[in-house]
Amino acid sequence: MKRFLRDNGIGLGFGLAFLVVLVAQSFAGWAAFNQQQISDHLGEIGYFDYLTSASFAVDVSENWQSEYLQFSLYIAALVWLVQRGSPDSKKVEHVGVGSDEDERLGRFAEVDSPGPVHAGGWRLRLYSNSLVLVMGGIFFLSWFVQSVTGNAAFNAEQLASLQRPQSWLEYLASADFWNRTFQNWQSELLAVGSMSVLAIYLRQRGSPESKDVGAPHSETGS
Amino acid sequence: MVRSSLPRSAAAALALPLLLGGCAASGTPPLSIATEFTDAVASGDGADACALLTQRAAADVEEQTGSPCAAGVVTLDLPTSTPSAAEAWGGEAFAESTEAALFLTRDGESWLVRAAGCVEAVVEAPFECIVDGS
Repeated sequence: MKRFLRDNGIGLGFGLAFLVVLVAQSFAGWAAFNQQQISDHLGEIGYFDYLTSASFAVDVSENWQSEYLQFSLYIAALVWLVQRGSPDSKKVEHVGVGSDEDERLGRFAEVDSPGPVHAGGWRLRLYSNSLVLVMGGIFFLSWFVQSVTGNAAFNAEQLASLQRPQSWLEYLASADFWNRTFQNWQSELLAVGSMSVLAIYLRQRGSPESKDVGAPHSETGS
Repeated sequence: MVRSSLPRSAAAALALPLLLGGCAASGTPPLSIATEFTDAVASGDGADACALLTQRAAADVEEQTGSPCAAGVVTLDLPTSTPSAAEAWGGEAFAESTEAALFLTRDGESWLVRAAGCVEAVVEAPFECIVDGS
């Protein structure tokens, strides 16, 4: 058991922290929602009604989509973009999808390489891009959920202000949708870009996200 | 047409149903309440009309007319054409006829009229309402 916990520390640790913070968000969001209801002279709602509300769903999904976009872009862009001196980057001369030898494919495959590597063909092509496909798929799904739930939450606010509700297509062209979207995207792009550059010069001893403390600034890759 | 908070086709495609707002409202639909209200006003039944108003909307009637709600609401020249469509979003709903719109708010399993005799004087701006309980 102890070994299992140690061997799965990242998944379990972040998974547990995610659930705790999601519950905390739900209570804070519920309180904020009811404060707004009181301001609008409307009835307060119960906690479980808030959990199934569009307001909670859009607040969750707009953050999910931007996080998955961040990592999808990072995974895909770093095939072609490099940053000399950054532990996140490949060596600058390795720009591109890499050789079979680099990627342990074909005759360089190992006995315990994943099944699609030995199968080759379309299964290998699919598997070779599976990480970005799944992360990108979650991004698009979360963004779609944001658009639907954002439309519902926006329309509830419109009606509270005695304004006409909008269709989903109208909402896709609305300032509210793009404001929610862009405010999340800019922060994610700033965070990954700045981390990649700061890690050229700064270190965190023991972290795989950092170069070794004694590594020179010019060394690329961790 | 009465829509739930989320389009049904879209909701079915969503992977996170527990997170999504807008289970279809149970109880009396907002279009029925809006129709009952306009019918009551049309037939001069102020008591029935006022029973369908929120407290703030009824207070607005009394303030405007200087009369009890049941007597005052029928003197306000509210449009009486029957609403033909309604849509609900969260705890709020909107019903519209050819003449005017009504705004409703959820009250338990049913709905109450929050504003009536509303027209959109300026596109995208708040409606201007004869009875305004907002």
